Amino acid sequence: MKLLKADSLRRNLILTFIWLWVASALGATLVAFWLAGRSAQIAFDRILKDDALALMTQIHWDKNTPVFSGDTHTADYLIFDSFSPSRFTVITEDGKKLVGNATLELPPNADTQKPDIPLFFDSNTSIGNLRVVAIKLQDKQSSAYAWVIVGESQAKRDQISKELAAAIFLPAIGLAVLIVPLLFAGIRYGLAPAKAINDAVSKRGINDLSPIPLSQVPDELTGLISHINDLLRRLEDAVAHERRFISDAAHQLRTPLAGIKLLVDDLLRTNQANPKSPPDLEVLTELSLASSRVTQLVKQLLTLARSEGVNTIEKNEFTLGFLISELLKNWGPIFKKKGKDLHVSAYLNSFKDFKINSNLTLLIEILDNIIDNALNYGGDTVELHANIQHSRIILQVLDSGSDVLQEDVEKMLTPFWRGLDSTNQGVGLGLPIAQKTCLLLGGVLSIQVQPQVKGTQVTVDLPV
Amino acid sequence: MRVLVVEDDSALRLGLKRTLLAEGWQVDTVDNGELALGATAVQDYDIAVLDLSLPKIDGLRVLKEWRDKGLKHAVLILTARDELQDRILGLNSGGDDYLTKPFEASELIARVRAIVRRRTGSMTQVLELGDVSFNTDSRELFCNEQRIMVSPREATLLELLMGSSGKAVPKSRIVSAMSSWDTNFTPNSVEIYILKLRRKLANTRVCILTVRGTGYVIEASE
Repeated sequence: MKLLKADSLRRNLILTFIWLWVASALGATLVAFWLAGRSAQIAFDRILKDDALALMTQIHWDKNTPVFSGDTHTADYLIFDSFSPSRFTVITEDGKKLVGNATLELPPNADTQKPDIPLFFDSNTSIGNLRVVAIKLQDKQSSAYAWVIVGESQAKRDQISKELAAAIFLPAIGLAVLIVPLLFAGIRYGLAPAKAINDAVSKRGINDLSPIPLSQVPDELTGLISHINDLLRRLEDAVAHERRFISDAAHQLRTPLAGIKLLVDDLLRTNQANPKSPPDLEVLTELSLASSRVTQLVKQLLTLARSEGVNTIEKNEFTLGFLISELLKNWGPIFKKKGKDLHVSAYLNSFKDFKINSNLTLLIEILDNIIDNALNYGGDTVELHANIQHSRIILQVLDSGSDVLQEDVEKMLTPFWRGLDSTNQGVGLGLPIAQKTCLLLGGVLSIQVQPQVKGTQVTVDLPV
Repeated sequence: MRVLVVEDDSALRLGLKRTLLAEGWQVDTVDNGELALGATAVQDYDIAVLDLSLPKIDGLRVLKEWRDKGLKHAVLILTARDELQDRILGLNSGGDDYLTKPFEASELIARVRAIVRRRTGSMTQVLELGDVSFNTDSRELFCNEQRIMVSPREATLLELLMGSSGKAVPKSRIVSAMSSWDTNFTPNSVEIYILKLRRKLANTRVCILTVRGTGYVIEASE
């Protein structure tokens, strides 16, 4: 049933309310029934006692001997009951029956009973279960006494119990039948604002990330909706960032692709015009360079995309010296070819045996991107420096390039930003990749411009 | 026609240059905004093909400076961004048309021609004079309905003369339109191409006259 679907708030509310209502209604009804029954018992006992007292008024003492003034009929008249005939007997202390219409026994503990104090007890007799009261009547001059014992059938009390049960339980059952639909309606009404929000949200388009209006939201849901709105805002920011990134990536790919297309068309055109002449070397060289740039760009885009979804990084142990030798092996020839110098500081060299517990491949990728950036945008010298602090290693790449403005430092970590003065063929992904990879290793990448000296310093602070 | 290509991507720059050269236009190329402003300071261009993402000075600023300085050459904006906002911004800054990368060479040529036609006020691609007609798009010359082959430079010269509708075209303008930084086109070379065209138009009622001290004019005799 849809209404009672598992995990439904309405189902939980209805079941909770029903259980609570059933338990409390049952408890209240039982208590009411018990209290009403007890009140009825007390009232009947009082009437029974009054009957006994009425009989006692007919007893007087003659020389320490009790005498009943009337006869059995008089006594019957005194304690007349239209529902069921009362039973009574008056006996002396030695058990002699003075008057009575039945033989009623005293309970075993009757001897200790004080005079004039009614003793109530139930008695199972040959004429049925009786409720009995016995009052000891003592002569004031002597210690002689007599017992007035009056009993009445339990049937009367059973009857009143049934009537009380009917009077209490039947309305309760009726109320129970009535309250369930009222409960359903009440909960439906109470949950209507939540349902309205649910409907409004479900009708939204898949791209609608605007905040949910809080004007119609009940207080209990305001916090939840505010959190959802906060999530929506962050999601919208993330989506906008992704769109911008994809747009930038497409922009970066379109330019070399446009060049490749025009050059290939040119080759085809010249070949058609003059099939025997060899293709133009300048065109072929440019095509090769453009293809390399596109390949590099795609590779970098994939690296960046892959770094987004990685949660765990496998770590291994290597020395700082090994890391530096790998970098020099890769970059030494490139720097030489460009007539530039990649210099390792003496201080770093003194820590060659320092052990690093990290991911060698990713760390090399970080430093490759930073060094590549320094090679392309920096001056003639790039210096590698390191500092060891507690359980961290701080690697620095310093270049002697042109001055970077302080306001451009943050932009340098924005994908595809290259700076207006850039004339090389980079796409502006190196440092963003290095930064993301650094985060994967639990480190921090920062850029410092050095006002006192020319150049830029990129710092990688990593746990080891 | 002399074209300035401003594009920082070397492959696209070369592709643009070769595509435009193949149409018989003279092409100069620069790879940043600073050089683009420098080029237009020393040379008049009929049209500039301008990328927006440029080093040194970005394309929109270059365009604005051109217009602020009163330079009226046509501008075809090239960019990889195809959002409406970018297009509007480019056109509002003084661009004549907008081409999104990547594009077909034929579309580039068609747009350049369309811009030039709009600029010169010519609504047709066919220039007619007497019994001579010249299609500026296909670069085809018809004399008495007979097709005559012309080289790209002859076509450029013919378009320049026929497009001026009876007015004399200064020799310096012809030199400029048929030169680029890569080719040294001298006033003497103009005379050679004038001679070639006169030969091809010999059997028609159209002739190219020398206006002494000025240049040349093309006219049809009765």
